[in-house]
Amino acid sequence: MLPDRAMQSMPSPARRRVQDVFDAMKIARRVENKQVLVDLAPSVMRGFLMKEGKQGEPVGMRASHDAWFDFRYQGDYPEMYDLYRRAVQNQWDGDKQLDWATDVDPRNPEKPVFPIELVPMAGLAQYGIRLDRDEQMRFVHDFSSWLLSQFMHGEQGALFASAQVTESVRWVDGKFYGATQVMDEARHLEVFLRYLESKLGKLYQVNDNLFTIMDALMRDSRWDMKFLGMQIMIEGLALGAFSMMYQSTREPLLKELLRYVIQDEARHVHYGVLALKRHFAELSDAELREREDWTFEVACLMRDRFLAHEIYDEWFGAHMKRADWDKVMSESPFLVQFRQTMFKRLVPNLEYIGIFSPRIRAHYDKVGLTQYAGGRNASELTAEDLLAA
Amino acid sequence: MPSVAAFVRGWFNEPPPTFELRQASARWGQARPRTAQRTLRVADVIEETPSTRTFVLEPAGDGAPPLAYRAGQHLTVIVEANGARHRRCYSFSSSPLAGGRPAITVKRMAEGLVSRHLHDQVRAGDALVVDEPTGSFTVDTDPSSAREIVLVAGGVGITPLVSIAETVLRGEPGSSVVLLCGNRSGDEIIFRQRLARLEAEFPSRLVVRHALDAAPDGWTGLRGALDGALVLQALEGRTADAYYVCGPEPMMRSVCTALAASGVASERIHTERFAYASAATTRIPDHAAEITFAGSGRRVTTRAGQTILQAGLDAGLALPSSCTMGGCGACKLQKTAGTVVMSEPNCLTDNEREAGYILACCAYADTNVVIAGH
Repeated sequence: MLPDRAMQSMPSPARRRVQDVFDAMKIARRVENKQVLVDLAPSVMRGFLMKEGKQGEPVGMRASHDAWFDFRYQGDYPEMYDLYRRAVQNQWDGDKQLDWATDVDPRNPEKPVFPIELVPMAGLAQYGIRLDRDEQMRFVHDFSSWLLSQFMHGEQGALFASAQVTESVRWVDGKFYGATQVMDEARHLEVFLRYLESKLGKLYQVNDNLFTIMDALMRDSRWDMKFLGMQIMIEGLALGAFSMMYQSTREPLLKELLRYVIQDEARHVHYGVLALKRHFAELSDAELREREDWTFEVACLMRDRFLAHEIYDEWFGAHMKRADWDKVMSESPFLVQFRQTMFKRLVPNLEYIGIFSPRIRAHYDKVGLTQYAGGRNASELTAEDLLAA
Repeated sequence: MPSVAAFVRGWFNEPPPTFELRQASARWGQARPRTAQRTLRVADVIEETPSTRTFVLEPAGDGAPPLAYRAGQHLTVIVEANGARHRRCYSFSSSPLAGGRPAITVKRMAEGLVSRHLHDQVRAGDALVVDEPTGSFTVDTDPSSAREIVLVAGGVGITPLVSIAETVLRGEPGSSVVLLCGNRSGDEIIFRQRLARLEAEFPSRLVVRHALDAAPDGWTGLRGALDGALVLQALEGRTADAYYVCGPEPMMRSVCTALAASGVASERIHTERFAYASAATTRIPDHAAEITFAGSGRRVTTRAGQTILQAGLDAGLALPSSCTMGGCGACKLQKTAGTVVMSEPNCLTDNEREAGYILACCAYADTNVVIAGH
């Protein structure tokens, strides 16, 4: 990074661009696997430098996968067919089953969308920033809108990725199941968008990190990378995040909405685990290594996504350096807990599908993402761990 | 290359705001409550037994329309507590043909958030928010009909059945009713006096027989738990046009099995399970229970608030599971005895529920439970 004085002397648009360039370089420096760098570099360019997700226009992402037909229609994966039947029978209607007449005041401290502890008061105070009570509730409103906006954008990615996966997966039973997930994702997108529009009144742009991940997996021609990126990483982390949000919100409509979404997400992650466990057992060491490295980079991008630079730009861009904001967000107790809840489900799943070798574990250790590894895996966690209100 | 141009512009121009203020799109239409809701006033609270109360209800406000309901239906009561909205269904115990006000009867459950709220907080004059009455465990009366109806009630399961009994007696002068009521002890019998009054009013058309698990000396009614065998014994070969059964799950299963085995067609047997109204309403048992895995003979004790999956894993059983949230079905087990409470919604199919399957990851034992296999 350039010296502070040089940075501060730049006009703010140029300063932001320099920061973006440094963010992109930081990612490039971190990636050790050249193939992974080749895979991710175009998406990093489009996300961090070209800001393609923030131009206010539809964005094209060219897909290059094969759509696989199977005209034999053999019963080839009973567990997936079983999952398909469950999904069919458990479809819900967000319009009818959620009480949209609920009066939501996002600045009501009695029924906060997310707790006021979301405001990193102590961290901000270190830089001379103090928010009064009204400002705190306004911040909670904005941060809640930002957080739910990002999950909504993720649901749009999941909608398209699940459609691609349905085309590219080779098991017929997987195609049956995939179609239900497409519907699930459309419904999730619908309810998050409706909640944001009609209850919070504010939509935030897609975060660069999330855009980069979605761009990478939408363009990747390999079906298992789409599975890995969407079913395990994005859906798995979202599942953890939703459970934390479910536990912390006191707003009844959002709580009910999340409960329904969580049920679907749990099924989606299970689908990914089923598919990849079988597929990864047949890959070469080099192929597995590439998938481990790719997953690690995506995990880092997902972690950094919650630095919420869109909120920084809106609230504090004129008052503090972005590096200081990153430190505040990294140390905020609520967000530390949020990240921990998200990642504690991921590592056991990676172990289960076979891409968490001692080699890559050292990388996760280095960035502090393994504090839950070796703990209870997915089969040992209980529902109340995630849903206890 | 519009994005390259945007990239270059970005070095010199302030970017657009990172957010957009939005209003609800017209596509969502007019938000409406999930079902029509209304507010009722509690006109009276009647203590039926030490743990059971009847709440007599009336429309709140002048000119509000009366509450229309059918015998056997239930009312969903909505209570806000701990930052969440809780919904519970309670059956009407009143008869729409009796001329009085509608009433629901509620048993106080030790960990029942809403039932405790109703018992401890709600008094005559208070308001209750409710959904419109729903439920298909109902009976339509036809004054020209002459039929025989058997009602089998376990504990608080009497609630919809007393409503059905009185409605049939008043609405069908040619029909008769046999009501079998099971309770643990005499002081737990709900509506004892009301039933006695109905027997006196309809001496040739109503037979009420009480069964007690622990019958005292001198008890002249039925003795023992009201299960399928006792029901057949009490009916003494008498057949009916329709059977209505409501009570604890094991009792219902036993009674339905016995009736079917004695030749009663399934379409003549009607059942009502006291299910929870929504996901947020699951009452998790606050007591320990024993789980027997029939395959291995292993017995495992669940702690209060512990799922069957967790208890099994803690005991070293290799139980299958995956999502641990009731979403995938990997932890499906078949229950052959006992009662569990499950978080809802979950992914069990209707057929699986009927066949006694549970999802171990979100099932809590309410009584001792036997699991097939494992």
